[in-house]
Amino acid sequence: MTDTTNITFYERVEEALQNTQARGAFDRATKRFTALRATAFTSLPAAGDLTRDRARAIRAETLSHLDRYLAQFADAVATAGGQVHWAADAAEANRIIGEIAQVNHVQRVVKSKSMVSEEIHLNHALEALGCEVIESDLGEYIIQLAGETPSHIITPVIHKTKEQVGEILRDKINMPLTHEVTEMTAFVRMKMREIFLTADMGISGVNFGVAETGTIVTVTNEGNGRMTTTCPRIHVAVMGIERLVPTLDDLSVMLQVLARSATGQKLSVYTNLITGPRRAHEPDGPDELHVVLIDNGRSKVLGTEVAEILYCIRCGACLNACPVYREIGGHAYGSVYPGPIGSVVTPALYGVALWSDLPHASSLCGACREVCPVRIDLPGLLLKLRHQTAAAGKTPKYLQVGLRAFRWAGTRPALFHLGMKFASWGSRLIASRGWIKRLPGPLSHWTQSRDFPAFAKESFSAQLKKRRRESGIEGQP
Amino acid sequence: MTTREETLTRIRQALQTGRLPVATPNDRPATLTPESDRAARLALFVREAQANGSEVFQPATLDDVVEMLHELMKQAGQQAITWPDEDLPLPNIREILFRAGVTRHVPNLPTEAALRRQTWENLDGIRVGITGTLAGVADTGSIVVQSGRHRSRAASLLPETHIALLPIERLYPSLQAFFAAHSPQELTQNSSNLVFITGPSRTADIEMIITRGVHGPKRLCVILLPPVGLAA
Ligand code: SF4
Repeated sequence: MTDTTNITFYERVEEALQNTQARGAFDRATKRFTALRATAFTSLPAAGDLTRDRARAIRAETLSHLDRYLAQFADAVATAGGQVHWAADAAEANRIIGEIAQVNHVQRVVKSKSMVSEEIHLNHALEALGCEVIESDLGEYIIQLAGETPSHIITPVIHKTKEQVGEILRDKINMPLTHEVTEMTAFVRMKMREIFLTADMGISGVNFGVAETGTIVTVTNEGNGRMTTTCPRIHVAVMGIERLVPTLDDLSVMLQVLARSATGQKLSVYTNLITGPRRAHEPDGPDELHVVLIDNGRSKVLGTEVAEILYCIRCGACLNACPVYREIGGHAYGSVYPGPIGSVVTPALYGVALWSDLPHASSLCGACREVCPVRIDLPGLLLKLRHQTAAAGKTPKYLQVGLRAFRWAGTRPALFHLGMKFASWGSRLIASRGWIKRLPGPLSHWTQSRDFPAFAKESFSAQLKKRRRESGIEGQP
Repeated sequence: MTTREETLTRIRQALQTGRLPVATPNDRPATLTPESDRAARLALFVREAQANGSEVFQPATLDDVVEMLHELMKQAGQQAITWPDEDLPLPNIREILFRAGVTRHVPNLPTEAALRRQTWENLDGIRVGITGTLAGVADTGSIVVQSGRHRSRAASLLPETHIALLPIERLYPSLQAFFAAHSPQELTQNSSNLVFITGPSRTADIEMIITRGVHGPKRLCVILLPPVGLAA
C-alpha cells in the first residue's frame, strides 16, 4: 500500500481543514454516532463492561492460538464444501481471485463492502483483467461513481452533502436531479438489482469467521451483503487471517458489541451467517464458495509489540471518538484505514518508515481506548510506534526542529527565561480575551483548527517562587 | 502458491515472541444471558422489533391472518415467493393463502448460468415474500431465518415486503440463549445460510438520513402465532 501520492500527511491535513463543509459533516456524524453508541450500550448488563471484557478475552484467546483456529476454520470450510485459498500478500490474493474469475469466464463482479479488498486494491486488479467491478454498498457505490476513496470505514460517503450526491448520480447514471434521499435510494435499488441478478461473481468481506463450523459472517444494514452472497453463481469471501472467533457462542458475544459500537444498533439489520455453498437440496445461493485467507503482513505484526492491534473488529468507534479524526476526516490519513485504528495498523502492516507521520496524528487523549469494544490500548500502541519512528530517525520534521531548539534553550537558563518573558509579552499582544486566533509563522497550523491560549503574565516557575515566598516556604522550585 | 503450512508456520514463529497481552481464564466470564419469563420475553420482542422498524401483528383468529394477508397482498399484487407448506408454521396455510388470493412461487434456481439469470429476473418482479422462522430474539427484536430444502433465501430478500411467521414459543431472550439451544450441526450442516434479520433494509449513508428498502425489503411484517393455535 504505497499509493499515498507524493503529498505529505500535513499537506493532506491542511487540505482537509480547508474543506469546511466536510469538516462540519464529520463533526456532526461522529458526535451523533458517539451518542448512539453510548445509548446502545446501556441495554447491556453493567453498561456492556462485562461483554466487552469477554469480547476482548475471546480475541485474545483466538490470536494467541491463531495457528490452531485457522487450521480448524480452513478444515471446516472445506468440509462444508467451500474452497480455501492462502495468500501471503496482496499480489498473491489478487492473482488467486483473478484466476477464479478467469477460469469461470467472469465478466461482471458485484462487491459488498470489504476493507481488506481495498487494502489489496482488488478492484484495480480485476479491472486490469477486463472485469467490470461494482460496489454495492450505497455509500461505496457513490464513492466509486465519483472516483474517490471512502472517508469513514462505516459510512464511506459521510463527507458529501445530499446535493453533491444528487449531482454525482445525475452525471454518472443519468438520474433526474433530486435532493430527496428516498428518491436516490429507490433509483439505486433499481439500478443495482439488475447488477446483482446478472453478476457472475460476488465478492464479500468477512466480519468474522467461526473456527468450529467454518461459517463466515457478513454484517450489513442495506442487504447488499446478502444479495452479493446469494445471487451470483460464485461467491468469493476475502478475509484477513486474524478475523476468527472460536465458536458460535463466541460469535454471539462479538455481535453484541459490534453493531452497538459501529452504529448504535443492537444488531445490524442483516447479520448473515454463511456455511459453505448452496447444498444440493437448497433452492438458491451460490454454487461455489471460495474463502481467500489473506496474511499481507498480519503474521509479522503478530510477533511485534503492537500485536494487540489484531484484536480489532473494524467497528469504527475509535474514529468517531477521536478529536483529530473529527477535525480532519478520513482522507487526510492517506490510508485505507483512517483514525486511531489506522494510525496503528497502517504503520504496523506496512512499516513505520513509510508511515512515520501517522502515529503522531493523535493527541493521546485516550477517547479511542474508552470506546473500543475489545479494549485495545490504542494510545499505548501509538506511543510504541512513535518510539519506533524516533529510533528509526523518522520523527516528523517539526518535532525534530522543535525538540532540538527546546533542548538547546532548556540547557541555558538565562536564555530560556528571557524567551519565556518574550513569549508571554508577545502572546498577550496578539490575543483577544486570553485566546489567540492566529499564531504567527510556522505556528499558524495550530490555530487553523483551534485557538491557542495566551501565555500567563508570569511563568509557572515565577508564580511558584512567588507563592512560596508569600507562604514562607523557601527552596528551589 | 502459498501453502497452508507456510502461513501456519509464520504464525507459530510470530507467536513464539509472545508479545500479546495474556488472557487469563478469568477474563472469560460465563455466558451473560438475562433471565426472563415468557410474557416479558414477548413484550420485549414486540418493543424491540417495532423500534427497529418491523411491523408486528398478533392475530387472535385464523380469519385475522387471512384478512391481514389479504390487505397486504391487495397493495402488492397477488404474487408471492413462499416457502413450502411444511415450512410455514400454520396448520392450514394452504387454505389461508388460497383464501387471501395469493399466487405462490416456490423457486428452484438452475445451476446453468443463463437459466439461473432468467429465473432471478422472473422472481425479481414479485413484491411479497412469505417465510417461516427458526426463532426470534427478544432483546434485539430479530427473526432468525434458515435456508434449506425448498426454503429459499430469495423469499426474505428480493421482494419489497417480507412476511415472516413466528410461533411465540420460538422466542429466545438473547442471541446467546438462541445459540445455546441449537447445536452448531443443526445450524450449519444441511443449510448454507442462517440470517438474523433485525428490521427492514435500511441505510444512513447519505447525510445520516435513514431510508428504508435499499437492497432488501422495505417492509418486514412479523406475524406472531400463539402456542395454543389460532381459533378458526
Ligand atoms: S480499534 Fe477498537 S474501536 Fe477502533 S475500529 Fe478497531 S475495534 Fe473498533
